[in-house]
Amino acid sequence: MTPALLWSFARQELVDRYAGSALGFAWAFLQPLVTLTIFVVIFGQVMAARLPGLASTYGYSIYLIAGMLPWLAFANTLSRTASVFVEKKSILSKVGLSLPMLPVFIVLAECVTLLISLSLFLLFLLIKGMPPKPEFLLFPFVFAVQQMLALGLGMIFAVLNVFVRDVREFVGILMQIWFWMTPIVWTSQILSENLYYWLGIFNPMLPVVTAYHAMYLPGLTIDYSALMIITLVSGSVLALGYFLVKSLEKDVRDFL
Amino acid sequence: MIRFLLAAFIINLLTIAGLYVMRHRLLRLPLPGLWLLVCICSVIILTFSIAEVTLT
Repeated sequence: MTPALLWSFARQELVDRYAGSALGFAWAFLQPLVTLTIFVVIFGQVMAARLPGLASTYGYSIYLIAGMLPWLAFANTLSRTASVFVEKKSILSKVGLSLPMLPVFIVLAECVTLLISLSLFLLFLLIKGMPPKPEFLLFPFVFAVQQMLALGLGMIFAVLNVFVRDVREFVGILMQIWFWMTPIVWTSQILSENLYYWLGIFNPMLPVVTAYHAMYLPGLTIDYSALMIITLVSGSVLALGYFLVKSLEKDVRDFL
Repeated sequence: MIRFLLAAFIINLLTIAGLYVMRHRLLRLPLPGLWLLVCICSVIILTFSIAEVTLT
């Protein structure tokens, strides 16, 4: 499977999303713009939510958006990958595409979606005079780690989903639970140190989301050792997913 | 910040260039995807350790 073919799949994915609508690809900008405006207005102005130790009006809105945008990319990549073989079975039955490489187009499509939302978010930060910290330079690397984990887990679920179709529904529920186990809406201060430590051990997205927060907000730091461990975990999960798809490729094709 | 940018840029550029030059040899190895993944993970970890030293 060539990079050109993967990019063509990713482009088609984005085109299909807004196919038939009058505004077309403009929706890709409008949707995140409305989401960001709601977060800023509701949490910053109406509810006047404040982050502990930060007096800024927009502190909590920035905290929320900084974690939410990459989380949406993670959740969409994982859930879309989990059903990719079933969704693309008409193509897979006709063309001999490489099964382990096929889900990569979802990662590419989600990268484009995130870039659009992120550029709007950065524009808002610059207008408000709150530019990201130097740690923002690590964004592509932290995002790569997160997407490796999503792709690896998604591939494992994708194989299972071919044989047991309930997996797709299970992934939906899993993502909901995972979302609330990650400090995106809530802050770490509401948990006891002991509970937060144990959550950090079982939730690989916790240091990742904390790193995103530290890229924008003063007083927060990145846990580099945790990020390095998560990089190894993500790489191992991706390798496991790859080998699972590779070893069961024939059975998956027969079953589809 | 400049120190981080320089170090990360050089390391990442060298890795990409190295992978591009060695791509034919890499493809002949058993499990080329695994070696590529090992390279990517190593570079990310190296970049994080550089950031830990230069950005904090």
